[in-house]
Parts: sequence; C-alpha cells; structure tokens
Amino acid sequence: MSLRWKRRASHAEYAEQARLRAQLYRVQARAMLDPLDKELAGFLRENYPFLFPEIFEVTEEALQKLRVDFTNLFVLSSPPYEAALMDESGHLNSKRTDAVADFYRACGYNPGRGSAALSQSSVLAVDHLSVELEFLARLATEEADAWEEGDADLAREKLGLCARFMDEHLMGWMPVYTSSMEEDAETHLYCALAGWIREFAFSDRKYIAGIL
Amino acid sequence: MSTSHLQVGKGARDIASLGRPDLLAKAPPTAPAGQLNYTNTNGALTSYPSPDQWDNWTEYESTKWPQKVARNYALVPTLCFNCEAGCGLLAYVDKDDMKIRKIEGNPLHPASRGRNCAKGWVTLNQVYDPDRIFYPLKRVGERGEGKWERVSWDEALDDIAGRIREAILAERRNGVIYHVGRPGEDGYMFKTLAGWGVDGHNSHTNVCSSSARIGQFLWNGSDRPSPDFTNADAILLISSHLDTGHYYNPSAQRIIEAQTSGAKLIVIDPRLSNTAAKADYWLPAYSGTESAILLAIARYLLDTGQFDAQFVEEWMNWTEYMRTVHPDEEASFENFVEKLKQEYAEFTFEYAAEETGVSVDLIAEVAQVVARAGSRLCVHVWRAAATGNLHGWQVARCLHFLPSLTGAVGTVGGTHLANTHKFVPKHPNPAPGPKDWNELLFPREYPLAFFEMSFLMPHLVKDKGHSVDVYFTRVYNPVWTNPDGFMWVDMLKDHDKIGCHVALTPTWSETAWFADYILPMGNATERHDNQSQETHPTKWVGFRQPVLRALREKMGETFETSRETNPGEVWEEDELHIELSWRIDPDGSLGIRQYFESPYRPGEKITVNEYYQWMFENGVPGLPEAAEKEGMTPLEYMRKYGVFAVQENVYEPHMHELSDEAMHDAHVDEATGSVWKDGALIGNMSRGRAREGFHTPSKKLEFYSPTMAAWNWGDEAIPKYMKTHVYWRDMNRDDNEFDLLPNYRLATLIHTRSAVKWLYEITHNNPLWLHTDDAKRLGLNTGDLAKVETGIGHFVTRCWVTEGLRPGIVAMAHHLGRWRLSEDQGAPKIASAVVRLDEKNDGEYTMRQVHGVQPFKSDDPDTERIWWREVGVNQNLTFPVNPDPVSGMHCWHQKVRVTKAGAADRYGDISVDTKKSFEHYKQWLEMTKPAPGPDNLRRPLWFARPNKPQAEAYTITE
Repeated sequence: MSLRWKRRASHAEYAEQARLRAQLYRVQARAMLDPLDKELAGFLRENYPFLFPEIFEVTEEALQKLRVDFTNLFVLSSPPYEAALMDESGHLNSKRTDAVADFYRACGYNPGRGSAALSQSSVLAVDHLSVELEFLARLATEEADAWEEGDADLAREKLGLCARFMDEHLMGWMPVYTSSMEEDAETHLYCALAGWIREFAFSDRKYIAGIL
Repeated sequence: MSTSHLQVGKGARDIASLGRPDLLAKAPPTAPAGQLNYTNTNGALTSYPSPDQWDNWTEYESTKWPQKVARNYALVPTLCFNCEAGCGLLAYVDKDDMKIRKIEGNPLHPASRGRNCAKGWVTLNQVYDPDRIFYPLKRVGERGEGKWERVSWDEALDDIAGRIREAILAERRNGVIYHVGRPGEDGYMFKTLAGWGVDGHNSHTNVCSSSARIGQFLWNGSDRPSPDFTNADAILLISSHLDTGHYYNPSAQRIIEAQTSGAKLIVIDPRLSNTAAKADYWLPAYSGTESAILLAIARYLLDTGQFDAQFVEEWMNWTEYMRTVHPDEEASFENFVEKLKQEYAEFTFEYAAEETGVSVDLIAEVAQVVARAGSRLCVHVWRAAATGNLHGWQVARCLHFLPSLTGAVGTVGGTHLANTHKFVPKHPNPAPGPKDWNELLFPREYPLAFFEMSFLMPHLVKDKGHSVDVYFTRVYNPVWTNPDGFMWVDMLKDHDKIGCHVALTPTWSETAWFADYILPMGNATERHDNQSQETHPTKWVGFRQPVLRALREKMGETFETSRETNPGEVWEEDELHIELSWRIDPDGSLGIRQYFESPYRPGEKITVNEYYQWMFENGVPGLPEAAEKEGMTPLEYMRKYGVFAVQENVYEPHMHELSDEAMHDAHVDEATGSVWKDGALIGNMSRGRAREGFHTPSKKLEFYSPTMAAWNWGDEAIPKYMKTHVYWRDMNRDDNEFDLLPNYRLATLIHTRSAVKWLYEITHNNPLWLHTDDAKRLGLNTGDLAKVETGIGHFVTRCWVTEGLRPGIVAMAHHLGRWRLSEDQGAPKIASAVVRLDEKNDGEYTMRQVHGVQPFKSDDPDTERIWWREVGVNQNLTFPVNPDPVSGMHCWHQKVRVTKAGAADRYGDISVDTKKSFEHYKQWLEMTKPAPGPDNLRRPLWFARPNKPQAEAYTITE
C-alpha cells in the first residue's frame, strides 16, 4: 500500500485563493450589472482578454454594439433574476427573491439598502445575478480575512455558506440562464462571459468541497 | 482540489481600483443606547441652486421662449402650510418687482428633501387667489346674510380684545374658544391661550385621528406613529392615508425607496386606494374587521415562536397583566406567553378569512412577511379603519401589537414614537397652564377622548346650555367639514350661544359666512411659524416666514408688521395675538401682558423677530453653534435655510441609559425589572442596564392597560377585535343597505384651502364608488344619479362603477362639494356651486344647487377658462355624529341605503332633519362611561391634552 501524501495548503495560501475568488466573482458581477462604459471595458480588455475577440478596440462604436446586446439580452428578453426562473409565479421580486434576501440578511448584509451602485443601476431586485455573485465575493473576502487571522473554523464556516448559497440558489438557475445567454448573445463578450461565469462556478463549487 | 479556475485572476489588476461602489452593504448593527451610528439613505435631490446662490439666482423666463430673457431671483425658504407635513418650500422672488413667481422645494429640508406634492406648488395659486380676502371684514346684517363692511385692524382688534377682557373679568374664561383646523405651528397658540389663562384650545382632532392616537398612546405613550419606512423590510398600512393625505410627500418617497430595496408593502383597505394599487399585498377586508387579520398574524407569530422573546419579556407589561387578569397563576413569562396563545386562540387564519372576506392564503402569506421582517416591521394607521369605525381605536391597538411582538419599536426600519422625533423648541415667556377646565371641550362623558370633543360642540351647546363669548375659527370650516353641518349653522346663527364669531382665514369658507369678523390670514409665504413633524427618524425644526418681509429686511428695510409686505392687509397670527393680548390687558393688571413682553426689552411689547430670535438662540440645541460657524445669528441662519436638523438617526430612545445621578439611591424590582426612586418609577431594566423606557405609567409597552381597566373599560384593556357599527353581517342587502366609506382623501386636495385652480383642474368631483356587482343589482351605471339615504337625511350624487372596491361597500371622497349662498362670495368660485338653502319645521334643511361652477372674469385670465361644472356633493352634511365612547372620534362610516335617484331628484340635492341628528347624538352618548374616574379625576393625569391645565383642574370638586 502506498501512502499518498497530499500537502494541505497553508492558511496564507487559502487566504490568497479566497481573495482571488472574491476578485473574480466581483469582476463577473460588475460585467453583468450594467452596459460597459469605456473605463470598465478597458479594464476587462486589459485583464481578462479572453472575454473579447482578438481584435477589439474600445471605441464608441464597439461599446454601442455591446450596449445593444446588453439591452437585448437582459432588458428586453430575459433579465437575470433567480425568481424569473425559479419562482412558481415567474414574477420578479417574489417569494424566491425574499429567500435570497433572507440569506443575505442572515449573513449580515443589507440587500439593496445603502448601495449606491444598485440604486444607480437597472437592477430591480436583489436576486439579480450580479448581486448573487457579489455576495459570493463578499463571503470569500470574509473567508480570506478569517484565514489571515488564523481562524480556520470561521473561514470554513464562510466557505460552507458559499456552498450552501450556491446549492440553494445560484447553481439552481444560473447554469440554465447562462446557457441560454450563450446561445442568444450576439457579441463575443456576452457569449464568453456566460461560459466563464458558469464554468467558474462549477469549478469553484468543487474547490470548496475539496476544502470542506 | 484544483485551483486552475483561479489562474485567470492571477496578476490581474483588482477591480476595486476602479473605485466603484459596492453592490451589497453590510447591515448596520442594532444601535446601542446613546450611540447613533447609522447613516441615512441619502435620498436628497442632486441638482438644485446652491444655497450660496439663493440671494442672486438667474433663470430664463419660460414664457419668453425662444428668446433668452433673464430674470433675477432671490430664493427664500419657507414651509408649506397645506397639509400637516410642513415640507420645505423655496419662494422664487423676482427682484425687479418683488413678486413671487414660483414655488419649488427646499432641497435642504430633511423630510421633503426638495420634493413637493401638488399641494405645495399651489401655494403660488393661494397667494394670487382671485377670491382671497385682503382686508378685515365686519358683518353688517344678520349672520349669514352676506353683508359686510371693511373695517380697520384697530377697530376689529379693539372690539374683540374688549370682549375677551370682559369675559375674563367676569370669570367666564371658558367663554373664549380658539378652534383650529390646520395648526401648522408648534406651541405658539398653547402659549398664547395659557397666557390668557383660558382652557380654550379646540381642534379638529376628533374628526381626524383620535382613535388612531389613543390606540397607539395606550401602548407606548405617544399618540402618533413615526415611521422609518426607508429601512423597513415590511410596511403594513391600514390606510390609504400616507399616499394621499397628510405626510403624503415625505412618506410616499420613503415608501418607494423601501420598495425599491425589496421591502414588501401590505395595505389593508376595502378600497383600492393609490397606496393599495402600489402594494405587494392588498387585503380588502370588510370595514372594521381589520383587527381579525392583525390578531391572526399575532397568533401566528406566537404559535410559531417568531416573536422577539427577549424584547417582549423586557418591555411588555406582562407582569401587570398576569397579576391582574390571572392572579391565581404564577406570573412567569412562560405562563404569559401561554396565556397570550390562549387569549388569541380563536384567531386562526380561517376565522380571519371568514370575518374579513380576505382569503386564507393571502393572510397566511402576509403573516410570513411580517414574521420575516422582524425588527424591520413598520406599521402605520392614521385615519381609515381607526377613524371610520366604532371601537376603531382597537384597530390601532391590534396593529401596534405586531411590532411590539417582533421587537420593531424604535428600531431601524421599525415603528417609532412621534414624540421621540418631533421637536418643539422652548418659547419665550411661557405661562403656566390654565386653572380652569372647559367642559364644552372635554365633557365628563368622554374622559379618555383624544382630544377635544370638537365636532359635538353644537350638540353640547344645545344639550348642556353652554355659551361662548368669543369664538375663533382659525383655518377651520366645520360647517362643511364636520358631520351634521346644519347643527353648526344653527349654533353659529344664534347670538345667545355664540357672542362673537371671528373667522381667521386666508379665504372664504362656508363657516366664515356665518362670522361677525373675517380677519385675513397669511398663507405659507406670509406668516411666521415654527413647525416640526415626525416624518422619519430625524428631529428637525422648520421655519415658516413671510418671504417678502424676510427678503426686504435682508436688503436693509425695516417693518413693524408683516402686514406691510403681505398682499392687502393680510396679517399673520403671531403678530395678531401679541397685539390682541396687549389690548386685552393694556396695563398688565390681568397678568396677561407679561407673557407677551420682549425678553430683550423688559416691559415692552415683543416683536415677532424677537420672538424667534429668542427661540432659536435658546430653544434649539446646536443651532447657535451651526449659525456661528457661518457667521450668522441663529435667526439669520433660519431665515436663510428655513430648517435645521436637531438630531439625525434617532433610534431606540427607550434604551437610553439612566445616568449615574439618576440611579443614585434607586432600586430595581427584580420581578418586573422596574427601576424605582423616591417612590416613583423612573425606568426599566433591559440587557442588564437601567433604561429610560417608554412614556407610559409602567415605562413599558402596555399590552394590558391598567388605565382602561381603572376607567371602567376592563374588558377592553388588551388588544381586541370588536365589531363596528357598520358590521357587514348587519347590513340588509335586500334593502340595498351599504357601508358608506367617506373618510378617504384625495392626493391633490386638502380641505378648504386647496380650492385653487391647478388642483381643481385635476380633481373636482367626488362620485360614489360602487362595485360592478352592486351597480348591476341596483341598475346603476357610471354617471347615473343615485340617492344615498343616511340616518338623518339624504344626498344625491353620481355613480362611478368600479372593481376597485369590496362589494357591499360604497365610497366617496372627502374634500369636495364646496357650496356658497351668494353668487360672488362665501366660497371660492372656482370650486363651489351656488346653492339655495331652505329651512322648514324648525331644523329640517334642504339644499339644492342653483348652478355649478362657471367661468368668471378676474385678474387671472385662467378663471375664464374653467371647463368643469360639477364640483361634488357635501355628503358630510347628511351624517349624524357618531362619537366613539372611548376615543371621542367621530366614526365616519355610515350605514346608508342606495337607490336609483327619482325623477324629482337633482345632482347635489341634500336633505337633513337636525331633530333626528340630535336624537342620534343622544343615543351614542348613552354608550359612554363618564368621569369621575379614580381619585375623582376628570381624565387620567398621564394622558396627553392640548394646553394642559394645571393638575388641580383635573379633579371634580362639586
């Protein structure tokens, strides 16, 4: 019998990974929130080039194409809300939304209130994909803080919350939604973004399970 | 455990570097006592003229477009004088001709935040109203004959002051009554009447809100709720009021903010009101059955354990309940919870559904929303069910039971106490309360009334033989507003009952028509007042000012009175009452004058500038310092900005810790948590510390009211579902009986003063709402005339058939149906029908419209463009008085019979028999349980009362 030894990551490494996860969820959240402006498009082009075709310039013409696609995908056809897919009524801001808000609250977050970004965006309810991704980013940040403070129990608790939120909410609807988004998108960006968000979440769920 | 998915982020710049705000905010922690660490959601406007530009602001003249003609304005702040909210206004004064050109919102006002409703903007209409009264008028012929002569202010003041002086000298202090409709100020008239030594303050409260007031007051010692809508997770309203009536502007904008943040709005109202139409849940319960739903929710919270046990244990007076109601059982908290469950066991969702007509599923879903909200449950009732129904105060009791269970009292997003948010500054030279008790205002039959039994005044005068020497009606129109208006006409025409009637009003009213003097008063831009309201968890004080005077004084002119800058001889009450007081007591021998002397120039008459200078220097914490920072006096600061936030984020004041000094020699009753010192209860223990508590005798939330029990209402001492006088099962549908819901407002109107062109163009009619099924049965269509019979007469109006109403109920709005007895005077021509009023058989009145509104010539070319004709029907004239035996509230709902109008009936016909109405008053009087109460008292000493008399006056001695 051979002993297979697998090195467990140090707290510092876990913390670094958690910060990376937070950063990536946050990028995805921001990319889904509103049509890209010049600054955000430049940031994504520079740091996440796979989201764009090889030849892409941040021009007003290019941004306008993205705005049109954004509007078709998220405003005129099927906005990315959990309730729209999961609530039996099919209504936005329904019981399913309440359940998401309850989850945020239970973790100490105030859904919507005090968020200048939300109030200035077109987001109508807190089960919007961007807010759910942002929530995972916040949990990952808290997890990173806990690792750095040497509190492994707290860090695992945060990871557990991530897993629970993904199982109870995000993974129930996001994969279906992003598959459809991938098909309907007319720009490289939103097609690639859909695939990235979905595959990243699947991988991340496995990553979390591995630690827990 | 693969981390390959993270590779893509390595080396990438952090998106935080873009500096964009976060999508999710960390929830604020619960506020520890004394630590106010919340940040308000900033809902203020982002674009408006900066205050440093208010003295010189240039805009292009809209009517000259496309030419660019600049106009130079000074922007002067003031407060709206229309509804009760006291929103901030900015008057745009054209500096070339010193005319007010437009009214906008004051962006610095903490409650209105630069926004106004339609009623605020029409202040401009009110200033330039073609039917304004500009000069003092004195009656020439008989009262109500419509003959007037213009008199000087001196003549009017000397006569009125002389009569008051005579009454005081003859020990008839109760013969002076000041009856206010819209106060719009805090403390000035209380101070004035106290200075005169008269218990003469009368209000409109008992046709407005008294049942809602006492329902909350018995719980926590505050007679009004103050909402934190913005931060709520669930908002439960038993009212259409907040989206249509008082507080409409500050409340509606915050309710919308909450909804956009995910809060659920629940509205219980038989009518699809503006508010209900925007709600997540509309529960159209039968009138007066609302408590069944509320108690079913309470039962659900109790049975499922979804209540804040620590809060209830620490803050509800359950030990009093257990010891009094269940003396044989151990007074433990666990037993109390069990007793609560037993007490409300019958209130299943199924029972509530049967009583209210609302589905079980809907009630159950709302109960879950309430439970989920927890400490962020914001409830509100002001009029609606509370003021419409016999025992309506129990609806308010049951409503406030819910936040008391969920621990949502005083919390972020919770339900607050008005007296912790409203700020009333000290006034200069305060006088002690009156020594007398006026039984015309607080008769013995209504020892618990909140407040004066004002709408019974003509009935009490007739029944008990009262008479009044000088009767002021101030922005008050009882003939048109109150029920049984012809009883008011009878009283006002009788010189033996009313010696002199002085109407203080900016415009004509049905009541002023029967006055001896009409004295023209200022609107929002023509008077001084300090005002504060409970709009949200911030204490603020606003300053209403005569804007032209303020501006011209700033430019270096001086004035003795506001009359000099107001239109015509329009005055303001502050200066009027100082002047009147000096004429009542010219040599100071009556001890009155001293209260109206300058605090800066001893022995001399106080000026209005000195009055507010003193108040702002001495009565508003933080204001002198804020003013000093800007190199101004406090008065200059208020003249410039119009408002000052005294304290923001006022949460959980009941949790304020008692100081070490207060706790010195104090002891704690371990069984109850009460903190005692020198025989007096001074606080309550919570979370291991001694706290100030609530403004009740127990310092707790009084689920069980010992006061009610002591005053012979023991069976009603806890929140209870009580059947209304218009209970739906008592209606004979076969005889076309309906419950008439007449007490809802319209968003664009506010009683007498809103009869102006912009508002009437929007809303000028009050048809009878009738459900489609009922209309079909009665053979009525929209536009048809219906005859509506009440207990004392009938009226004829048009129908409006709608699905937005529970069948079995008909509804008709307040505010419309203005009338006048003369072509040229008596009510605004833009808003009133000319009528013929006939009386026969001593007290039987009939009214028929001669014609509706017609265009007319005036300085305003718009008056020739009036296109509306019918202006509604004054249904209130046909209502008998229904005084609730506890609160004193007029229970507005009426049992009526609705039929198709006959061939002889005309739109607007009214018929009333006041003999029947007097009999009706006597019947309701029999439900009362008169004073004296314990210790021979007229009224519980701890109960609020306007212009509170000295303690000795509370004891019945004869």
